[in-house]
Amino acid sequence: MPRNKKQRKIPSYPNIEPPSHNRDLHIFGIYTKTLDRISHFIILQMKFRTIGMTALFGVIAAIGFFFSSKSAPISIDSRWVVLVTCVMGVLVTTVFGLIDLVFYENLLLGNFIDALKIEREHTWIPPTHLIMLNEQMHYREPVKKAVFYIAVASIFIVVFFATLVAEHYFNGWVLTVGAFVSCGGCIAGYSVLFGRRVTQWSHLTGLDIELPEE
Amino acid sequence: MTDFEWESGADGDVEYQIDMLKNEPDDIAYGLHSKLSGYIGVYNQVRLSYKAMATTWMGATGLGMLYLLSGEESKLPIGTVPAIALFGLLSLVGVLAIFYWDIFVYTRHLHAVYDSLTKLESKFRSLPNSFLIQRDLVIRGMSGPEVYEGYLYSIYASVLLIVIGSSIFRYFFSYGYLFTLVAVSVWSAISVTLLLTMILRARSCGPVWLGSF
Repeated sequence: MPRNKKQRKIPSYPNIEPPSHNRDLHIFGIYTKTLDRISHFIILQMKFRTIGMTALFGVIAAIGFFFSSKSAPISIDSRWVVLVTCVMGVLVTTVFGLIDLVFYENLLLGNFIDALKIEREHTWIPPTHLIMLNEQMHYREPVKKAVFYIAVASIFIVVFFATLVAEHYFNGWVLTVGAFVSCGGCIAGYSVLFGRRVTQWSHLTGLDIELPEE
Repeated sequence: MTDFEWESGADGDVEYQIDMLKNEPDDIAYGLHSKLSGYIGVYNQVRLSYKAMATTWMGATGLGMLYLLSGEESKLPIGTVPAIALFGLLSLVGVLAIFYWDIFVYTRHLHAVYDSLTKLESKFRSLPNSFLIQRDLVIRGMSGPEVYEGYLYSIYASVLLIVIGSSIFRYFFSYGYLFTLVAVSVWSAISVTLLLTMILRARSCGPVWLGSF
């Protein structure tokens, strides 16, 4: 029978039924594999954040270089280049934060929720992740992890407005105070927007799981 | 538990052996204990990397401040001393952010796993008592959690606070003794409050089993 190119033949996998007398051993195996996957994504996030820090150091070094006497003479004013670099720094921070806290975090959370379910259904397994959720307030995890990226973005926002004020683009104390207020407003707005975007995808928000009785 | 022996080499030394787990509570508890011990290793590895990240951050801050002092930053719109203070302040924000990650996120996870392991060792006498002994050492104060939780970051923050305070002192000194005294007093109060808050919050993220013992 000729195969239609648009229809892929899906292979059928044999059903593997675990031996009934080894049911606990099977659950133990599943649980250990879930822990392995959680560990994998935690390490992946750690390495990704290290890469992000390297990129941020590069942006900060670029800002410092543009203010130095050894910067190459270019037709564009170096102060404008610094302002654009600050904006790029915020964008780089945001992109790294979204990949880390939306993409990788959801992959991690999928396995975390799986571990929660196994611990809740089988009380002979130590309730490690239930303790993380209840007593350690793990449901606030994505927002807590977002603090770093909000802090780094705030650094670039402060440098941006500090450059504007120092270059006398805001003349007079009224405009200077307005610049500081705008800086604070930008940081607050970024925090709210970034925090909402991160927690929007958190499947742990509002999750209510009770610890099993010992 | 049945040992599965390998024959390797002429002298027949067993390099390693695979313990066959049967569907018995002690065997499964042993497996869970081994797996959770490895789980702790992952969190320790992650926390170590964040401490390394903070150290790299401090190193970059030091290099940046030395570069500012070198006078190469001729196009800087503000003076060298205010620039060092601002640079130190922004670096302090980064150190506090890494401190928050390490202590408030991953240390809490670590102690949740410790809690599970101590409960497991209490329940199954066939398991080693390594984590119960560690808990006893902590209770007796030989190595309290506050010793290894947050002191490194407090020291980094102290260095930055001293540098910023010195810059503030140097900047306001030209305006008179009164301005200098007020500025340094305010900054000292902020610094002491910040350091105490860091240490106390780090202690509050200690093991959960400390309170239930």
